[in-house]
Amino acid sequence: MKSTLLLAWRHLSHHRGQSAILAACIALIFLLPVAVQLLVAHYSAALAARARATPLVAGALGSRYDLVLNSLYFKGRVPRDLPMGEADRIQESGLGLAIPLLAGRSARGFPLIGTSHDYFAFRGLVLDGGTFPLILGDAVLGARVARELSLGPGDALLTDRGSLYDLSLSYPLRLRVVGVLRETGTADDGAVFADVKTVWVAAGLGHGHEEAATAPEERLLARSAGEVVFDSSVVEYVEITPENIDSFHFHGDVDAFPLSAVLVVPRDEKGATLLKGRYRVSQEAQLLEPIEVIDEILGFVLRVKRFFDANLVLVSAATALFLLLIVLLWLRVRQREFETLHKIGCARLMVARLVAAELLITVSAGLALAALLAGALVAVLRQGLV
Amino acid sequence: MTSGAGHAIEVENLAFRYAAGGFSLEVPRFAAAPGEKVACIGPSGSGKSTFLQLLAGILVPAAGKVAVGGVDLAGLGDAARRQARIQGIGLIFQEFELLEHLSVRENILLPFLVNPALMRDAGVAARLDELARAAGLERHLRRKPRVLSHGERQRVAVCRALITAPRLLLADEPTGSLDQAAAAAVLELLLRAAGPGGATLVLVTHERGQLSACDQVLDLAALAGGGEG
Repeated sequence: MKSTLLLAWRHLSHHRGQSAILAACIALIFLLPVAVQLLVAHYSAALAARARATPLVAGALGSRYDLVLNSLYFKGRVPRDLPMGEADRIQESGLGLAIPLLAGRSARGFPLIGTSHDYFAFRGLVLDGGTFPLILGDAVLGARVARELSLGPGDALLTDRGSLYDLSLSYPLRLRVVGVLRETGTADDGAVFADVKTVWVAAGLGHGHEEAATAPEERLLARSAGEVVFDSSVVEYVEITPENIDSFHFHGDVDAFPLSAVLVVPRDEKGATLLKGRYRVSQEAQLLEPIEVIDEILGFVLRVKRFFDANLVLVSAATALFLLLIVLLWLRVRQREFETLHKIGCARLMVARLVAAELLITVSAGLALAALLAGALVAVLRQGLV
Repeated sequence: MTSGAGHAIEVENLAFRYAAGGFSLEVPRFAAAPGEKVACIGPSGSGKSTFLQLLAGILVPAAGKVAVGGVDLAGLGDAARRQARIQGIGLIFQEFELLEHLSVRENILLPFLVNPALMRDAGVAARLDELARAAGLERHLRRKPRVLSHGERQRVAVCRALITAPRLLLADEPTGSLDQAAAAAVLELLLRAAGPGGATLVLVTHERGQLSACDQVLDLAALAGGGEG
């Protein structure tokens, strides 16, 4: 057996290029289904876990999928906003805790989420450093955001403008980073969190500027009861500081200001049932159980995966046949070598064992490579890089 | 032609025909004593290589007797013929037939690597050293055959045939693809291995000059009456 393995190894190492290609082909044949399985399992588990941890989500009527994907994973946009007053009404009903969410804007490419302190407690988010947002203009960063932007408490980051050429949009707001969240492996790692009011300011619904009383008279364009109009030279603040924070204010009814969703944590089962009943007849809003929506989405994904699996089986079978053809041609090329072995007394069975040993080593190397790559993939998945 | 008891090779009424037809070989009688050097000649296609393969038990005659060391190979099964070949026959081919992925040392030891029945004891290592020295291959033992000259490669093939200390040495045009100097070195190795107390040598050759070194000449063309080549 030892000499069989030695001869097999000698042959494979002599033709190391061909052997490596064969092993790589075998590794890919096995890796692809394993990788797909791992990815689907990982995403299914991650999606379902977050959905299961979120009892109810309220939002404006529209796509259920958009609402859940936006409010749980900060992906995409909700087609319509929900007024802030809706969150207050849920809260005041005493049936559950209402956590406002305002997604849709971004800061240096990462989703900017306006919410309340309750969100951090609800998701079990803890700080790796710094504090949670305390005042207007404060922001905490998800672990991945902090890592990729190399930011920490004491740094600042600008919100993004929706369009560079739309002059009607508000200026980017300079957010003060006051804390960094500990990594959770969820969508929270890739988001920037601030108070809802801060995000409203970033959206241009609130602003701060020089005090009317201190502004020079020549900038005054009109004055009427309760309203003063200055020309555009009055400085509008792009950063909220302790010195100018008091000048920030909102125009209009804050109750009508937009939210993208409200996460609802019902007081108890009865509270949940009452809330669901209330929204069932609503013409403006909907209340969803995220896990039901995610199960539907995963159902679609698994149906697509079944097609993919069937395709993989066919591709793998075709590749395996192709490899078999290569092996047969390879054996044919070596016919003279096998004849020599036979002539010097080597049994046909020994030749077969020799070939089997070479195939065994090649397949083992391919499988080891596949396992190595699958292990690396799992490690990457665990770090949330995929 | 030697005959009688104690023959290293004894062939009687040998008849062979390839399954595909066309070529046939008939040898009414041939014998060689232990240690005898036999030159096997004949034009291309006269059946020299076929005759060697019959003597080696690789091919089986349709009729007749092919006895090596007193054992009629024609009456043995495939495994027994292979066993007889392992134990007592060394083969040398015109194109060396070395395994390019093995070192010179491993090529020489190949019969032991592919035949678990052969015991590889301390004597084998000593014999390897002795053969390598005799063939001038000591410096090349770790090298791959592709870096050697044709003459050196054939000397490796001769060492591979001799490593099992065979009683019968079958060489199929061993100098056919070598220059004069290399051919002389290979022939010297073979003749040194044969002779009294050594192996019986059957040397297929086209070189008339090599006949004088042999004790007996077997002309297959004469046997077949100028038969097909």
